[in-house]
Amino acid sequence: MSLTSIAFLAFAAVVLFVYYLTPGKYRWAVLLVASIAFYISFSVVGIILLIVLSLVAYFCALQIEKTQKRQEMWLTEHSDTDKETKKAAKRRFKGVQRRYVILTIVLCIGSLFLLKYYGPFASEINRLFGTRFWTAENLLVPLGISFYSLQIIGYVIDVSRGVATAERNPLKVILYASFFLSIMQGPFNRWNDLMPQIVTEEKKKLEFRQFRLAILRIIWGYIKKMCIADQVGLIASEVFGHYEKYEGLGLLLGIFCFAVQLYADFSGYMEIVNGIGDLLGIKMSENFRQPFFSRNISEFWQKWHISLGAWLKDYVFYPLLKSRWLQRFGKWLTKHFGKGLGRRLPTYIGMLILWTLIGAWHGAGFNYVFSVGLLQFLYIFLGEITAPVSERVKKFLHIKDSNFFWHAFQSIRCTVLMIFAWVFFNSRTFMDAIAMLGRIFAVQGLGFAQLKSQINSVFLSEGTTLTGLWQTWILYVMLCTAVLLLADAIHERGGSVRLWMEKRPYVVRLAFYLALTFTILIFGAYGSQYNSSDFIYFQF
Amino acid sequence: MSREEIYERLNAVFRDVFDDETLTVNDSTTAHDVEGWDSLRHITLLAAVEDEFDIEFSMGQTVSMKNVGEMVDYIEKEA
Repeated sequence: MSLTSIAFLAFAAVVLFVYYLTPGKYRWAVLLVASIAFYISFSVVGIILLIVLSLVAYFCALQIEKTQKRQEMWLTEHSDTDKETKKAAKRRFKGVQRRYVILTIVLCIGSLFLLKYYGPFASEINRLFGTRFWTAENLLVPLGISFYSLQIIGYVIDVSRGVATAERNPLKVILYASFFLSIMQGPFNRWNDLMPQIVTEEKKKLEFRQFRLAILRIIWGYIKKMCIADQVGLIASEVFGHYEKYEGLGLLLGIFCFAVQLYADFSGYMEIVNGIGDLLGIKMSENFRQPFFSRNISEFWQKWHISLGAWLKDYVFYPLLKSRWLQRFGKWLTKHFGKGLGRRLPTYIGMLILWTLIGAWHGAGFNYVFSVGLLQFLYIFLGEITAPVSERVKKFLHIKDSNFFWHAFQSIRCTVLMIFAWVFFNSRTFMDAIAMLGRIFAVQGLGFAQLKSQINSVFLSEGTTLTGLWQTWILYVMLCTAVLLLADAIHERGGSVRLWMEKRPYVVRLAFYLALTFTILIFGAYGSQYNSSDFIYFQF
Repeated sequence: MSREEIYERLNAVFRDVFDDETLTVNDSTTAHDVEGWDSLRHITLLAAVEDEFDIEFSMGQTVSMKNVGEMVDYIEKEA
């Protein structure tokens, strides 16, 4: 059931209707049934794995909590015991808890590895060495496994850290893992953020204002997906799919279009699911905060796919940096090479591991590990070590951080670096990306004259709901970019079109709603010829 | 150890980690208020505080401490 299908809209409407008709304390059950039904619409077999992993998490969390209680009792009973014995006992109890955390991690990551990574990995080994390992070709990657497996691990770790309490009802753990608004491509919800909103006796009412604002957000999401991502994506997929046919500006246009498509697609999805969440009175994590206004790559990743970065920071990066071996290594470095290196090098090692994992999370290919992994590490690492030099240059040139043009320069630089990385991200292989980048310079001059025929060739081969001159397409891409940037600029200044619009007279509001609806009808990619494309992050 | 004493030593740790001799923190100081207190420096800071007061922050505290006040509460209890 695609999010852009009429079936999904009908499904969401039915869920909403039944949800608000049901008494507050049973509403979670409505969401559980809806989530299971939604999952089964994609895969009947996949739900079994989701349920099994949820039950493992349910069991492990309960055992961890029991161990914590046993520890408390032991400490109360042995309050007069010496410090060393207490420490040893704590270590013992911690060891038991750790076993359950490890069991959850092994089963979740093991399933993820077997179903998502093992196949491509084994095929590659077979190709390189002529071996005949099983390539798991008959195993399908279950929907959302990259998302729910991490959420499940997060829940069990939170219980072991004493941040969350273990759930007594296994069905609620299954709901947490399968929640239909986040199962496809996030956001990564934390147990403590999501579940208290879902499992509550409070009978939330759907206010008209809440309804109106949520619907506007959903429409904006569909505009981003259907009018921007899917339309501009036609150029991107043609150029990336047949890059050998293009060169110069034609390639640059395709590369730029992919960046626009990726942002509109992923953030459009977030607008839709968070909008539906608003309708249900459930606030989920936001995944974007105007990323293209970032001053550097570090900041970019705090504003792009926020919930993934936050998850990895709390459950991978911090534990790594706090690990005994890295702390000891840091102390050794401080002793022999000084404080600077002792503090920085362990952080960089942690960062390298973190970014490799972020890259690998996106896919098994080296192009993923490189583009949204190692290359990002390199960007941030270089930014960190050159920071003192850039500070001096800034001082010398009397540039202030508040200067508009300086901020604009930094944001453009950051965007160009990300667009470069996404060439590798969207190419079939690493070498395809290298070849594609090489062809940008294959043309004499800028190759502007060829652009026209190149764009026309895109639409002659693809076909689209928009027809017309090649200039129309250039204008359309520019318009889409401008609309996305304008909306983000308003948010960056703390404004909101939705809130501004609700203060306008009724006629203006009606005209605005009609304009948005017609935008989807006129510019949206749909209809019998249109094969509703999946959201990009759906594949991860 | 009194809260004032803790703050005296804690301010020295903050100044050292963030290379800012004018830095002064209080109960309501958060990561947003200190330039450079990002996820990369967070563990460096906690490790320096652990060394200074001979305590250990659990992972739960590492990820959920909301401000310096909570950090000082814990130091007061443990140190």
